[in-house]
Amino acid sequence: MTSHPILIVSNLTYTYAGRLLFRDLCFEVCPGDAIVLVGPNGSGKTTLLRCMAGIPESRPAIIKNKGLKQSYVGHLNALKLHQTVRQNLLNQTGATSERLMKILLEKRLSSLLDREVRTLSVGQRRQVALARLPLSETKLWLVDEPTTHLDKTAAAHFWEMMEKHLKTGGAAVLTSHAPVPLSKTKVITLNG
Amino acid sequence: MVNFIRQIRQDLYRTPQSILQVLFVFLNLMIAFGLLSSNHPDLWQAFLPILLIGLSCGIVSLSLDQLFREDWEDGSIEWLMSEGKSIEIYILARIITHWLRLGIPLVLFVGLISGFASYLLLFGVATATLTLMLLGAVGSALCLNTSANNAILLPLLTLPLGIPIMIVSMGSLINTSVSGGAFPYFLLQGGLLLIACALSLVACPFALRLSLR
Amino acid sequence: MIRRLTHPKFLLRKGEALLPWSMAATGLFGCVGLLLSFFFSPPDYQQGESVRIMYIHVPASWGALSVYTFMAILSGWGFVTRASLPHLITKAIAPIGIAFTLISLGTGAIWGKPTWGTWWAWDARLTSMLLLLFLYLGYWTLVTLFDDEEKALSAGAVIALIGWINIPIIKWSVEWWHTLHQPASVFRLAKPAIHWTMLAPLFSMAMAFAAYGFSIAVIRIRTEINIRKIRSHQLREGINQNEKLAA
Repeated sequence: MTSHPILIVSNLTYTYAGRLLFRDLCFEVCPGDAIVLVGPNGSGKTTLLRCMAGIPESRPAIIKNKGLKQSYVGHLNALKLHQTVRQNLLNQTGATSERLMKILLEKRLSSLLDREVRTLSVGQRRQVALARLPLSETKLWLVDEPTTHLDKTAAAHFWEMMEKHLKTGGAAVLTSHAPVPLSKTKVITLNG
Repeated sequence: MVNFIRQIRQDLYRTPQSILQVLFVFLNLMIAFGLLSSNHPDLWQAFLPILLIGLSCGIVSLSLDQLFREDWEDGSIEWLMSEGKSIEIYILARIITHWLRLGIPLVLFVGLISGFASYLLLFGVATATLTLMLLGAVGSALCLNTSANNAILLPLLTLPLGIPIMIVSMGSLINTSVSGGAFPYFLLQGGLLLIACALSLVACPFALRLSLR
Repeated sequence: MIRRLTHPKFLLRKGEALLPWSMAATGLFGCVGLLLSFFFSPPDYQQGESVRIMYIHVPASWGALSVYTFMAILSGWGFVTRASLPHLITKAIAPIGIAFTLISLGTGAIWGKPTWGTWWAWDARLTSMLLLLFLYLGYWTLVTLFDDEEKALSAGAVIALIGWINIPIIKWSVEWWHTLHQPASVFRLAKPAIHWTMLAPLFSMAMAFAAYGFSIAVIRIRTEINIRKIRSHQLREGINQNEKLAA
């Protein structure tokens, strides 16, 4: 791809509690890219993803395009248990009701719309959290272990959604233990 | 601004289980003290306001652990940071809803028990609890990500910060009962509250970011 | 020059140059002070000989408060300049403050027994000193609790800075409640209210405590910087080994 990168990681070094996680890491994220971070447990995949998401603070080694909008779905779902799915998604993304209906219909989640999140199963909660990504209409998606707890159909829906996003010029960075069935991916392997 | 109001409205709907528990303990203690001191009404009159402020502050500091805990556990704070929105609004909204749910009932109870006699007492409870919540929020944010032995850390951090607040509010009551003239003490407590507000809104985001590392 | 103090090497060089002088000063002022306080200062007309404990108790209290003030100033400086050395120094001098506070509380209790008849009283200054101890302990617990060193130091610095509000309240509380303690008689704008035979040993012991604090501080700062150097060296060694294994 010869388009401009939207996020550049240049010489990222990260130490925590006396352990070095990565040193002088460099790569670029261009529109249409799907970058998959793989590596054994504890190798720093989630930490790298969080650095790119700007948690807890933005780092000078991560250079983003001005005005780049990102969506982050981490390992925890960040859903308020006592609120309904509709309330959660509307509050978090500021999307309109119609768009919400459309997206959830695509994901076959519309029957869950007015149920409280605490009544949903773990897999359903994960699907709701992942529904945040298309709803927020952002260019860069950062997802940590997207298909944990998802059954085969739900996972297939998610990858479909991801393909559509990449085709329309978005980019994504994921961590995954399972193989990622996308058409083209860039894999970054982190060693322990 | 809209986010702020929305956050407050959302939080207010939550069922305040732990808060009701805490208020119930307070009520029980007050009833016990009331029964025990029915023999010495004079002693009771002099001692009561101080006791009420002390108990209120104690109860607030016990409830501080829950301030950010739920949002931390379900990942909402992490998500808010990734959105890049102003975290101060979230913190302020959180503290204010916590105060609305805990502080206002405390003020009402204190008023009922003291017969709404002294406005300085009610103002004292209101400002002392809010100031303590503001300063304690910093400690609470720092303790979010520590492992074991958490139980002692939060009180150890909060109570030394809370003692000057208690000194000011109790001292105000003592001095006005001796010499009258309550207005400067209103100002003093209000001033302390404003300082706490400023300090807290600078230190709390920093403390939350520290916990997220 | 103040800027250059944030560089560890410069700080250590200056500190270690002054170290022998400050140790000598500790010894000198300590001896002079003890001599003056035991033999040349008058016994109190009410308390008798036990007033001499004051010459340890008061400088220790001043020391405890000063060390905490230093910690707060250093924490503020660390946040403003975003350097990590001030936070490291704060951690290094914290135990000195804890020791001074314990000395103050202990000698205060020993002094209180013959004077007031009790080991402890809920007096404004005494209680404030106890509060200061809790502030120190809170700082120390926080700093030793986190795994990551930088996070620990930053967290502690926040607490040190905010907790400093207690110090002015301690100062004012003596005027608000004239209880067992006498009002401040040395740090007044007018001439000090006490006679020079008591002022001299007091001043001398105060200098001894200050010099002692400085010496220990230099030694501890040196230790902390060395620990940090060892850790980063170990880190680099670990990386080199990993690279060798990978290659």
